[in-house]
Amino acid sequence: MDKAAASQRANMTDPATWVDRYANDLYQYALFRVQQPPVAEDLVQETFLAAYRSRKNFQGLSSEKTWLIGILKNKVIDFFRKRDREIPTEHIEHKADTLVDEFDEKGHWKVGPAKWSVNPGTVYEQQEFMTVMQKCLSDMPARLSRIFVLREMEDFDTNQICKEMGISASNTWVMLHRARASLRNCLEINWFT
Amino acid sequence: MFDCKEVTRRVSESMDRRLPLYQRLMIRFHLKMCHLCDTYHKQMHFIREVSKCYAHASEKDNIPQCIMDAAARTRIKSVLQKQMDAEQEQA
Repeated sequence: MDKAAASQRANMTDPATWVDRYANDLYQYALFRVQQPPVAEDLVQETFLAAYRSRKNFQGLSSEKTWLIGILKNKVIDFFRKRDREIPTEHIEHKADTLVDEFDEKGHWKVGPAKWSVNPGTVYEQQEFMTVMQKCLSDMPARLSRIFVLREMEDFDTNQICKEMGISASNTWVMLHRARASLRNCLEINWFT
Repeated sequence: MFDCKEVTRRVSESMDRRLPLYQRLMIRFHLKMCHLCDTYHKQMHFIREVSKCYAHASEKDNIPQCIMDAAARTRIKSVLQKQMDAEQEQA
């Protein structure tokens, strides 16, 4: 073993301690994106197993947690790709059209949004808000919550989303609008009023 | 002139691409006149900010807000341990 490899291995903790050290962080990462606890748990398990198998590739350039999150990130993307293949698209698109219409026939607000006087930097630390946010995302049609996660959590731009989801740019913007409008409506009903 | 429904659609689109100047001006004008759409606009940015906080929460050194179920944790530990034992036996 050369010196560099020896130091890389020295930076890695005992894999037997990984679950205690990182399970909650990884679980949180996955849960924010997939919203379903059993799926998040499975993805975390797959991540630890994959990390163990490929532990020799750990360069030690980033922290162990960052390395594990990188593996999990790919697991999450694979999960969505697999699910997309299994759920017929037309079913999902049809569900998207059943969103509440908040406007009258002239395009004016029927009721209008309420004022939210909270700071995003502090409200996200509240367990109850997080639960509501996750419920709102999981109640959304699957492809809408996915496109929202890609844009607002993974910071994908329009081109990346088009490629990942196999849709046009204009379809991307329409779906993002629907996702945001749906989330806004849900948060307002379940949290702000 | 854009109506409120159209403005909400364009506000969302402006978060994903740079709109043509004419549309940006129309939106800005509408938001000045319409407090409901102005509120909506602020809420869209609230949603973006709070999502960003969640996206990066695990990478920070904060205590995680989501705690994995104890049974799942035990199961994962045992699966990982099995893999480690299997590898040691092979070696």
